[in-house]
Amino acid sequence: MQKRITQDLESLLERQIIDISTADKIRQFYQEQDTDTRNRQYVVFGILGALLVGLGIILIIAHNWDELNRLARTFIGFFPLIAAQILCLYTLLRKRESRAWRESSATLLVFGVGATLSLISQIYHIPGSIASFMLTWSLLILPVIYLMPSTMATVLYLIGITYYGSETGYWSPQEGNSIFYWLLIIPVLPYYFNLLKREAASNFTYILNWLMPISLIINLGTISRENPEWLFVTYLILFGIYYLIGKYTPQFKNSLQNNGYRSLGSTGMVVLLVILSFHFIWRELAKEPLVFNSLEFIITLVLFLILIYLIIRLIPLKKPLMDIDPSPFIPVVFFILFLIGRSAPVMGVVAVNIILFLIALYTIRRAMQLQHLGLLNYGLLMITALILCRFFDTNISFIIRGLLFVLIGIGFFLANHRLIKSNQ
Amino acid sequence: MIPGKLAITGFIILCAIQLYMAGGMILENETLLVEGKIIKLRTAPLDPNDPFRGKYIILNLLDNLVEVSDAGEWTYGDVAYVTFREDPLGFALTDQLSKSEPPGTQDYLKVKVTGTINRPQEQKVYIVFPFDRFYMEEKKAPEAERIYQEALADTTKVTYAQVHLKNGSGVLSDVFIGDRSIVQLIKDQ
Repeated sequence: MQKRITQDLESLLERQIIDISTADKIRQFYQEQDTDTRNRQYVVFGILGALLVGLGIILIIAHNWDELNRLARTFIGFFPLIAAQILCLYTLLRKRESRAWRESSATLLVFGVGATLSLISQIYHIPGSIASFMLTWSLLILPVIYLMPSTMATVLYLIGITYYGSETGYWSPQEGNSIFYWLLIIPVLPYYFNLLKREAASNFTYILNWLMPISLIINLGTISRENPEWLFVTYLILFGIYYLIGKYTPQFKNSLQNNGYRSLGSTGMVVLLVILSFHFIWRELAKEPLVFNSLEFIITLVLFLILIYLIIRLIPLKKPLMDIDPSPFIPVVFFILFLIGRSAPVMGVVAVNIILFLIALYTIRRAMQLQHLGLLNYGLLMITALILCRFFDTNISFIIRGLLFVLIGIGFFLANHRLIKSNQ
Repeated sequence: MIPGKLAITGFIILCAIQLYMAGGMILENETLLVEGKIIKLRTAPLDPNDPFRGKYIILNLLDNLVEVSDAGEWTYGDVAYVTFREDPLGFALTDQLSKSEPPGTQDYLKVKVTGTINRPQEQKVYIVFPFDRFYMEEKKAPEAERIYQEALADTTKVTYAQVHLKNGSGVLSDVFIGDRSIVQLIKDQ
């Protein structure tokens, strides 16, 4: 397309449709765009290359070269680390302005550190779980995030500490303390906030806009000890906070690809509500007494207060009632329901089903207003999921179930048809 | 962005820390290999692997139960110090367990308590040793497993780990089947 336009410039000039200065401006515009694209390509290929080389080195080292003596293996073990350090130093001295250099050399250094640690572990048969290995590795690469500075190092660090948190929090609690995850995530925050402030529309920020919330979702469950029932509320509130941040913060507004918060918040709430729409979950919940003097409750309460603060700060309440998005209020309603409704499980089940139905209706209505096909199907999917789930814990006859599905199917078809037609 | 000079200085310090950490691990283990007392611990190996560090044989060290005077004093996760004595065949057997470093000797190992037996006639503590794996070249680990299975059938062969001990730390240097190193055995096949 771009080539075509620049080729056509001559004939446009000949026919005097545009003058020379306009032609020059057009040429300059495309030249600048070309450089931009090329720079972006360098960054992407640089990082991909570094990732592949780094992973390759780790795999080669995992072969365990026990034919070689200890000295030779130690030398080989240090090679990736020192080579990456030299490359990073060169980048800092000569190529600091080049993102491609910074990101790829930092990526190599991250793997270089990992490779060296691996090899030393092998040579001396050092025991130790994968958790302690990840912890050492993560701590040794943390400063790279700020010194280079590098978003790829941040991404790899986040993956590392998320793995560490899950390993110690869920799978092997004896191998370490999952509380370290929460301490380890703090140093990343200034870098992330700075990136949001300066480069909100960069692809690197987009990656973190997904990775940060995912990491927190994965590890929030590790706070649970003796009172896991609180987690339903804790997670729902977290999703509510995500949704609010994603919908009302200028950095995320009006974009779906950079908006992990809104997508995760919304789908998270719906999935949790679908789970909570089952009767047996509420029956189980009713069995356990609520313990207020627990870490789980304190964290839930703190998150709840943050949610209330955000609702007051961010939501414009002057809108007509029908136009107010109900999603951010769901965790608040659910929190109250959870506190009072556990003794009467039926009430909880009915309320959650109604809430889910209302969100679905709001989503479909909103989709119609915005003429948004994706949103429409999301709403219809919620209703389908709700009905599908009700089939499992109610005794509805096959005929009625069948008819309901046929009706939903027709609804899908009609709603999509109407929207597509009105878009044309 | 951190200003240029500061970033470079910071980075050089980081490099030094990274190298120091790696070098420190090497130095500590080399010292143990050179200066540590060699003991032989009976073991039963298996063959799993690790995504980053490759293939290894899991060492199931057999002598992990120590007699104590009062098992009630110990709980799961406690740090303990164990000393060893030798049986007539020259293999190490756990001897004494203490809460603090035993005085007058360097030949002890820091271990963790994993359980207790607390009966009137039986007072024992389960411990876990600080080495549980022996890394091998990827193709050799399954081969080692096969050799081990064959050795099991032959009751005259004992499998044991050679460990270097000093001041509570220990490093594993080899695994033997009978009187031959497992690495050497595979090489000869």
